[in-house]
Amino acid sequence: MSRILLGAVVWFLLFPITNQPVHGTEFSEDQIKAVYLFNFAEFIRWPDSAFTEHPEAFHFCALNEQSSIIRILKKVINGETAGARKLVFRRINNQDDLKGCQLVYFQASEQSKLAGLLPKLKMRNILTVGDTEDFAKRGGMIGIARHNRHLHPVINVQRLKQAGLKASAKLLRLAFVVDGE
Amino acid sequence: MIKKLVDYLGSMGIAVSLIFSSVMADEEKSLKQLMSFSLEELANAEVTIAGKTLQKATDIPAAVYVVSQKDIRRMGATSIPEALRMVPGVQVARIDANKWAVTSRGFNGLFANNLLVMMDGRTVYTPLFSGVHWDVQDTVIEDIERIEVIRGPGAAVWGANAVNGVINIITKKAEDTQGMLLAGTFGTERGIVTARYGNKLSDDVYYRLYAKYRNQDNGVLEDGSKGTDGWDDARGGFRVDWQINTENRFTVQGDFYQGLMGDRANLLTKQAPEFRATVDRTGDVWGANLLTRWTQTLSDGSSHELQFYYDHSYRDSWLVKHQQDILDLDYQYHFFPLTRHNVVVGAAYRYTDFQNQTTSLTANAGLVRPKNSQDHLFSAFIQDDIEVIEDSVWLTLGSKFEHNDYSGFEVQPSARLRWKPNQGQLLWAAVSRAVRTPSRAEHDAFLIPDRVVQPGVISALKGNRNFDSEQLIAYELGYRFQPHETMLLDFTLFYNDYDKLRSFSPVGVSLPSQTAPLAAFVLEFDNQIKAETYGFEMAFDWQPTEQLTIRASYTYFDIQLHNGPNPADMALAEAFEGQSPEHQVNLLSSYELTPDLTLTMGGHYIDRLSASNVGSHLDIDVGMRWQVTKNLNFALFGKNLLHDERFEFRQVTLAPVSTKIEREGYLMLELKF
Repeated sequence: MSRILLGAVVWFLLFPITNQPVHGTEFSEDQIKAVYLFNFAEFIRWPDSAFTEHPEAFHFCALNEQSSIIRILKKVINGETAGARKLVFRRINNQDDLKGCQLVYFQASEQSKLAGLLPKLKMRNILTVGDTEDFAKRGGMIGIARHNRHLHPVINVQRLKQAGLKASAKLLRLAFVVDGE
Repeated sequence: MIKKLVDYLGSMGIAVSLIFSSVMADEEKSLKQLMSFSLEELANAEVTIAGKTLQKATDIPAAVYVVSQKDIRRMGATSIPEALRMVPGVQVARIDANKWAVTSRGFNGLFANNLLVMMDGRTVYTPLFSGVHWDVQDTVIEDIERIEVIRGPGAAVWGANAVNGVINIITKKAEDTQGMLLAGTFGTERGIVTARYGNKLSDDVYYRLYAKYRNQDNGVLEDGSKGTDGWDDARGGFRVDWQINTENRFTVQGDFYQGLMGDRANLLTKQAPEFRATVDRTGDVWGANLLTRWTQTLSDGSSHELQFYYDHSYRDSWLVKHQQDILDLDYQYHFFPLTRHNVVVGAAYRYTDFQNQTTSLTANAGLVRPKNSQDHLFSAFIQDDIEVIEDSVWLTLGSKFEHNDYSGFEVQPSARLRWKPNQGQLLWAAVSRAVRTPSRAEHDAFLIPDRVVQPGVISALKGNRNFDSEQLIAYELGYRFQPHETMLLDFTLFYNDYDKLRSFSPVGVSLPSQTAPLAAFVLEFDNQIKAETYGFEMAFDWQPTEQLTIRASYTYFDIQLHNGPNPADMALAEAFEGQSPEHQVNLLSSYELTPDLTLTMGGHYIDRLSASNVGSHLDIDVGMRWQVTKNLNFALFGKNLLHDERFEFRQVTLAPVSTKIEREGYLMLELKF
């Protein structure tokens, strides 16, 4: 009896492994998100005044650089440019570090910190991106929503405008657009 | 059969390593492909399995393991000790239907006292013996978000008693438990009904209420007859979460419970000629607690947390009858004073009021004198996480300082170094000092174990006001490897050097008298034992396909005691050495046949416990969960399938009569609307 059960367990464990391809053309959620961030640098327009600090670089900023998405982002932007600007990542510790950031990325767990930062961000041409669906409704500019097995940006156009930023038509076409403060 | 299992595992290992190499290359390739995508293609890219749960704990420089709500459901766990069974380095054993022995890294027993257990920030141990009454630690199992287990000393932040581990049971926020939940578990050994309702008072204020009743059937005695250790528990509670504004959050929660549990114990009596009897008795417990927590997160990322709780508990059991009231105030501040510094400081005060009485049964077996006592505990801690080399090396330095009424002032520092050579790998090392402060019993109790040393002579245990803290210097080394986002391997090696462990020293003989008809060797609590423990813990989490999840763990543990000069110490040393398994293997796998139908299988092997006279055993659990409709979930579990009944643990001294755990089946129904 016990032998049969044990056999069943082992069969059960091994069966899907030997019968399932390990990888198809699927990507991890974090990979797709990181590539979205990379694309935002391209498909959103910043005014020149956003680059007075470091005219030659585009800065991605985040509070935590150990998250998997940031680690992937660093790989993605390595050696890449947006226009003539070199793409770089910078970790921020507090609001004073925001100077010179063009894009700030918030993980779900950090979004409570956003509220305090918002007034500082509003007039400073900084794009805020969060990794949850309701980020754009809760004070941020772009959230990322998962529908079935696809990821889409959720954009708060009004807030983008207030920050002096403009999303390209291409990006708006495939994004969900939300209003409201 | 073990050999067979090893063969199978071996072949699985080869399969795993073959897959590794291809997976690593695949990741780079898929990223390059994604980067070449147009926006439309990106929006259409398919997301693979969510590997998120695996990543959470990867950066922590300690032996961390997280049991998620998903894991709990996969196991079909209906109590907290059951949910802890899968954790590497942790030993969970049932003594009887209502008593558990739970420990991390050795020294297990009903009165295991090296573990700090918290529920939503509330410490749930009793300072009477520094242990946990697992029978009263419960909540709506469906409302548990996760259980975080840190093996090894967590003393720098958590404080006394976090000697060999910290278990933090975290329930969901009220906003995540909205609506009605009706759940029932019905089976051969257990019956549980739960009702929980959640709603909101406004857009910012959410609440939930719950009520729960549990009945556990009697276990089986050594001779095969039914025991008398059944257990009933009724409880209710609430939680309110108020998001005052974007910076401030306020939580209030509370519980009330009452339980009745069967105890059978061998006790000494005044009845000649045996002077001992087996007594059945129904224990009676109740308790209530109330906790409030205020959290403020400031714009610069810093945060304040202020927590206050009150906890009342009453227990009238086979050994003691006692009541305790705890008031606890905690404050924490998390901030970034300099770049590369991440600092947490905190301070706490705890007031404990004890009231002890003799039970009708134990006459003079479990006295604690003075009956009433008030304890004050002051503590403070500081911890700084320093980024020594950007993105690569961090050093965490910290220390806890406390003053208690038993051993006075205690300092518990720790240093942790972590190195992240690249993404997906973490190597860490730690040295920490921790103390297990004296419990009330060790200072003030007078206990008579049921041991007849020789005809007409018994032994008695006496508290010692000079009993000092047990001390530990722990050395740990860990390596975490995430070859792919669906896979995590975690290895920990540790060496613990203990000093001043509890021992018993003879202090005299008391002669028979009118009130005490037997002569007694009187032993006093002392600190004469030194010990070394070492072990290896491994966890393996893998989600090879969207459907299949595997969590496996292996634990090796060994202990060497260097006892004092007394024969009593020798006996104690043997008991310690034989109460922890040398090898322990756990496996939990679940397979989603369809999105609505999941099969789970769990297996475990636990080495023998020589002191408990419990042999090694292999056992298997199976389960099936079916989401019938959006609102109705149905599950069927079979547990301990390989044995009709078996002992898991037998206490050596001061012991209730253990019962055997039986093969069992149960049905779980869950209705949500």
